Amino acid sequence: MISPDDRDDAELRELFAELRTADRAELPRYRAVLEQALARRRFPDSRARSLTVRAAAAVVVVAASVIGYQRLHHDAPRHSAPAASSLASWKSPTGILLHTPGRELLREVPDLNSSILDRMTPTTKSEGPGS
Amino acid sequence: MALTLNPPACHISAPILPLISTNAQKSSVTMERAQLDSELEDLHAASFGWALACCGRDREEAEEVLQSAYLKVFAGKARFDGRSTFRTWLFGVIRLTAAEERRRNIVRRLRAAAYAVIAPSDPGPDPNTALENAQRQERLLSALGELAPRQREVLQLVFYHDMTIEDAAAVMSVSLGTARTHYERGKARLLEKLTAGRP
Repeated sequence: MISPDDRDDAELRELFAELRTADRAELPRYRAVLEQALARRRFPDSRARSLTVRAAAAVVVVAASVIGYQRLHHDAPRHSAPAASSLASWKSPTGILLHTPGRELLREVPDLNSSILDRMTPTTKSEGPGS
Repeated sequence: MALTLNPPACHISAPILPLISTNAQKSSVTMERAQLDSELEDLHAASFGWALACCGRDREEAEEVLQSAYLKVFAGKARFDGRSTFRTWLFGVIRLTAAEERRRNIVRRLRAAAYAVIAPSDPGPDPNTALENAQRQERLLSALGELAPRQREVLQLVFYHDMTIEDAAAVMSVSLGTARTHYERGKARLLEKLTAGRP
């Protein structure tokens, strides 16, 4: 009696045998493989050269990327400093409207022993038309 | 009672000890090379199959791996010491060479990720049978591609190359217990995948 395990093994063997047959159809000749191997040993330069060229290209690309990255990040503060200062000194053209008359009075705590007129007098004098 | 393990299908009867190259006599070196050449030629088809498995079914890469492995053998960089069969040893050399090639060529490694994609085989005289075979192979390769590399290797060695698990363990440089575990788990998973993919 065939066990399920044996049946599975037989099925797998059959599948792999089909694969083996297909591989054999594409099998390169032994001599050809050997000749190519020997040729590769005789002329290893082309492969080595191609590897060197690839390595050099990779180094150039990496170096260019690093330089580009550094420039980008070093230039950024230089450009941003004047921009920041101009932004800080900017004044709105309509900002004058926010200055309400008598706002100085609102900034301080009122003094009970003096008149508000006393405090306003010098300002009034200096701003008056006769002065 | 003494137990003997069945030798693999392509077992070479006598270990090729003289292949450990000594430049003592030119004539013996020539003979050794001829013997080596003959052994490699006999195993060429199996070696190619194994190289394909080690290279994710990339035919071009498999050929390069074989070239490098043959060069190593002829140059004496890889030396057979007679501790296993010649085939087991050669498969170990091919496996290591494939790993080296992969490390060297990372681009190809990425290309090899398309494990399941295979070139359609020669349709032959009966297109229906050929198509059916191609589909079965594609299913097998697709299922194999989903296994862990060690599981795939041990199954390939046992079912494709008719090796014992012990020989497969030697090729893979793992213990027998480890190889057996990979074999059992891999087989169960492969059958599961094949059954799931069945129409």
